[in-house]
Amino acid sequence: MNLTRSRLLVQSLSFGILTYGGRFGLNLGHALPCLSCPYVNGCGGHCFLMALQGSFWGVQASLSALAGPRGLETLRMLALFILLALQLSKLWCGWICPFGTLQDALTWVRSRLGIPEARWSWATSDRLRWVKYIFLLLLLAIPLMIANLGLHGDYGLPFCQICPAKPLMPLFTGDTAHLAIDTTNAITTAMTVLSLLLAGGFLAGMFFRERFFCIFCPMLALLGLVQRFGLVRFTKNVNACVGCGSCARSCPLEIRTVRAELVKRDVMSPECMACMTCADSCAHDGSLSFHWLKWRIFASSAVGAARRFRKGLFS
Amino acid sequence: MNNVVTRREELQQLRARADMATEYAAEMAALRSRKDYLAEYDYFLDLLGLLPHPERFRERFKKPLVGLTCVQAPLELVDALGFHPYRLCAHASSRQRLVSSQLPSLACPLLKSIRGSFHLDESLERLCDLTVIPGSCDWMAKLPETLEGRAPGVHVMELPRIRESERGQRRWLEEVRELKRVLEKRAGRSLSRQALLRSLETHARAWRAWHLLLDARSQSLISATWTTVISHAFLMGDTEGWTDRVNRLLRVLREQPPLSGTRVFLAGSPIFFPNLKVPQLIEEAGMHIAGDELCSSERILAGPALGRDRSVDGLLRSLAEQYHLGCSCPSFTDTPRRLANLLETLHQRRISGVIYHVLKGCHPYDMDSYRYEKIIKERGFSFIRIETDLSREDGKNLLVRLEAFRDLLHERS
Ligand code: SF4
Ligand code: SF4
Ligand code: SF4
Ligand code: SF4
Repeated sequence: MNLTRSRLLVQSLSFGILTYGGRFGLNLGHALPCLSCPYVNGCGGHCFLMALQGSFWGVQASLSALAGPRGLETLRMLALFILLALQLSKLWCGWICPFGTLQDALTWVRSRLGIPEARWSWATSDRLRWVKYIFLLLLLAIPLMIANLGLHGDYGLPFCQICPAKPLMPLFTGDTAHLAIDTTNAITTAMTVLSLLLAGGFLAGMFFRERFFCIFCPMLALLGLVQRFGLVRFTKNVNACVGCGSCARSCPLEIRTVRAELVKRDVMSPECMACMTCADSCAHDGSLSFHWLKWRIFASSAVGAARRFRKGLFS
Repeated sequence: MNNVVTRREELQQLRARADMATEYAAEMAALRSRKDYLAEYDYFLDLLGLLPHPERFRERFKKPLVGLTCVQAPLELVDALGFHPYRLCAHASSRQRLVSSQLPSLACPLLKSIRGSFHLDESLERLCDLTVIPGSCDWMAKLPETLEGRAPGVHVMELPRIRESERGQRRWLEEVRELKRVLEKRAGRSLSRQALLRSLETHARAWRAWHLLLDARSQSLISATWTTVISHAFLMGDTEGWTDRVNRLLRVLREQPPLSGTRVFLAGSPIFFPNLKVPQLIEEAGMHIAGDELCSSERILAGPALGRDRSVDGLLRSLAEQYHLGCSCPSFTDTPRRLANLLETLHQRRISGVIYHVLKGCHPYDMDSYRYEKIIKERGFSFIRIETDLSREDGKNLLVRLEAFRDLLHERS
């Protein structure tokens, strides 16, 4: 089976399990390294970002409490997340995350409609990639400020409040509740309006640009922080690369560093989500490869690229 | 007076055509009498045999011709708009002689050979509806001006030398878009996505077959002289027929016993029919070219132009980048990658020596040869630089040097 099909299969299965698994008694825990959103009734496991921001397993607690057993609980959760992140690293994004799969589906629809993808300059791409770290910083800082500096509690779970997965993913279970504006007070009104505006904006972005949300996703930032210790390796034989740029053109995030690298073997950039499309598009035997520990998962080859070329163009 | 000039010109034309026919026929006969000749090579030889006979070429392909001088101009685009893409490159001393008094004696022989054909009243070059010239080196950049109306239409593509920047890549994409506009105007219709996809597919299939043939050469099943014949035949533009014949040849080659010869890599300036002196001498000296980086050989096809964006403009961008970024021409400013690829091939194909061919007057390759020599030797490989032109006189001399190189490789192995 070729890479595109294998990935589609894994993505579809993950989507089904993570979106509906809970209805069949499945619970993969609260530390999943992907946007498997708990706002989806009956989901099969919970996105770690919620746990991280929360007051139960996360950082929303007084600093003195965090120094005690409450902090240990937070650390335990973090350790669980890291353990999962180390096992599969960015495969969580490229192959498992249901919100990633939704974005791929939107891209599929757009390309079927013959609508060209939105393009921007290298400089803009380089600037945008910092936004996810700002989100990450805020999703840690705001809960700490609520617990320690008296910030209003309605700012709780700050990232979840603006995360487009929250209003969009429950739609797959027919739940439209998160599309409503919460008028309880000024803060909830402002936050729900902001959430809807952002969801609309991201939805449009995701339609016109492949994996648009992933550029800003704090989960990708977190995974990026631990990827260097992970078991999944993305390596390049820099001497075999002719610099043709197929990898960058095929990459959903248009990552240019894989092509540009001339020295280092490790080419998994913080932005990479291990979808392996680049390796599948590279026509040079063994130039790009993915390993799990010492086992090879996938490597570029002339045969593979020729097949992808035909399938990619005419499927 | 005018009559005298006309008469003299007429005679010159007649002599040139006769010279050219003789030169091509001699090389063809030499190839057909080789011990490793196979009937499967006839298709390729026959295509090359059309070169001195434009009227036969026209009869066979019946499409408007677009002549290209360099591997950087995307064939797929030309083909998709209904033209027959044809590479003007040749190593013909009979053509070169026609312009010997009009170009510097130190000018690149390849350029002279291309330029010479435009001097013939009846040549494929003169028949081209459009001649596309990417300014790959200074000689090529000056070529259009020297044509002085001898070509029905000339389109120059400006080649950015710095390609690691977004600026350079955008400029080349703009050049490819402009080529599309020029071709569309000539064709009187716009480029359809389906036609472009079909052409991309055809060329990807050709690339696949070529890749397999190069594998066969690496396994010593076919000599580089023959792969050079085949690569030049590809440049005649019959892509589908060519692919089909290469695939057929592959089936026959798998039954052949491997050739002997010390494995070497051929780097440097391109080599075209009808002067295959360099690969022939290397083989005569007991060596087998198991890999090369020539734009007339291993690199004739840019490879499948993959990318996410499948709109017409997206496909153009893929094509532009595939041709531009993947090209290992020394006219770019990023030679380290080319050198790294070469060293990698030496490792992968178990080759211990590099023969660097410099066509006298081909400055970019000449410039690079010194650094190549230094680095290749530092990595423990043997290196020899041979400088030659389209004449045959230095054959003996070259053979002696090549034999000494072979002995050196034997000693070191
Ligand atoms: S980066 Fe994309 S795929 Fe990864 S967790 Fe975020 S939304 Fe999902
Ligand atoms: S709203 Fe977003 S960040 Fe929050 S749990 Fe859901 S997917 Fe995760
Ligand atoms: S596709 Fe392969 S050969 Fe081309 S630039 Fe990327 S890694 Fe290099
Ligand atoms: S660099 Fe390769 S593996 Fe990473 S996101 Fe891009 S295409 Fe996928």
